[in-house]
Amino acid sequence: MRRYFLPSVALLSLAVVWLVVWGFLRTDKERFYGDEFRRPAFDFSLTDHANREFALSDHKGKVILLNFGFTNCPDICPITLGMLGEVLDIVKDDRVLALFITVDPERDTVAKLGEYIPFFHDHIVGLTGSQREIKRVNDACGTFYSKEKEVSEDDYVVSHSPAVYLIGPGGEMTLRYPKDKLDPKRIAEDVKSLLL
Amino acid sequence: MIAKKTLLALLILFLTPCFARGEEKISVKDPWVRQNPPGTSVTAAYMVMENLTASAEELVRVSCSCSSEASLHLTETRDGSMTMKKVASIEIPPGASLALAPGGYHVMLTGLSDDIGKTAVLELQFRSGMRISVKASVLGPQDAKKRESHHH
Ligand SMILES: [Cu+2]
Repeated sequence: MRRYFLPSVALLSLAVVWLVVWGFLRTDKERFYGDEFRRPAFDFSLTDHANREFALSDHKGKVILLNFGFTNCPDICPITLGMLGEVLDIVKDDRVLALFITVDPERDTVAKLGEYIPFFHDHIVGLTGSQREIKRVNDACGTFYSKEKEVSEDDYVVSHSPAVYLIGPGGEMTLRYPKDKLDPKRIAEDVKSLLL
Repeated sequence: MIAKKTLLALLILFLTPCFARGEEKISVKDPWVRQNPPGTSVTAAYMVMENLTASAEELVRVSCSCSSEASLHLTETRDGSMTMKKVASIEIPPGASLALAPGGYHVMLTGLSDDIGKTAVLELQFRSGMRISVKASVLGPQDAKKRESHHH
């Protein structure tokens, strides 16, 4: 009897560990609509469309939805901004922030963003700054942007990530919404569950 | 004489439907232009085109009363990064419908004034030489949202 004791305990604890890990992975996957996208906390410093300094670290405790774009983008950026406005209207909580970070700081000045952003929603924050800082945010999101001469000789577009990134209350990257997962109602549910 | 007249009448009767169908080889539905946000001079136009003929047709050129330039574009994602590229034409297979919709094919409009008004006229030119003129509604963010979710 005794010689079976240790192996049984070992086997049992292994099963328990396996169950816990499996349960954890499973609930976490099913808990959110967004794709799990865990990255360590990071920081950036940019200027908002009302010409105020904006540092990510000043907004701990909030859920942040972040997306990239540029004001001359005719097709996708306006849709994403409209969608983020809807999320804000559903959640209706000061602890959620929607950020639009330009990938075209040369043309998207504070004044330009100040004209553009409020057209979509009063509470979306438009951010611009140095290429270095904007690249840092892209790196943290595991994405990139690049200028492309496509429209005409004196015009260009900037390729960028179409995804929306969610930063949790602790400042860490948590979820990612790819372009086919941009349902405002379901994103709002994720945000609410993280604000509880 | 009477026989001749009857024959003519019959001929006209039979041919009229052919001509009538010939009038509408491509049907254009729900054309709309996204209102350009303040301070910007670019936007996009969308619509659904249905090819009612038995042969393929191609949209080759568009002009808009609201912009100085219009070109055919495709939004696409490469390595997780999204961009647009110019396309020379957009093919509509025989009997098929093709949607110019957000995130895919669109008419890129550049050189817009600050206020383009409530409607715009789009002039579509096809490979066969056919031209179609359609009146598109200019939609602000709220109305555009409705139209987008309608197509999804
Ligand atoms: Cu375009």
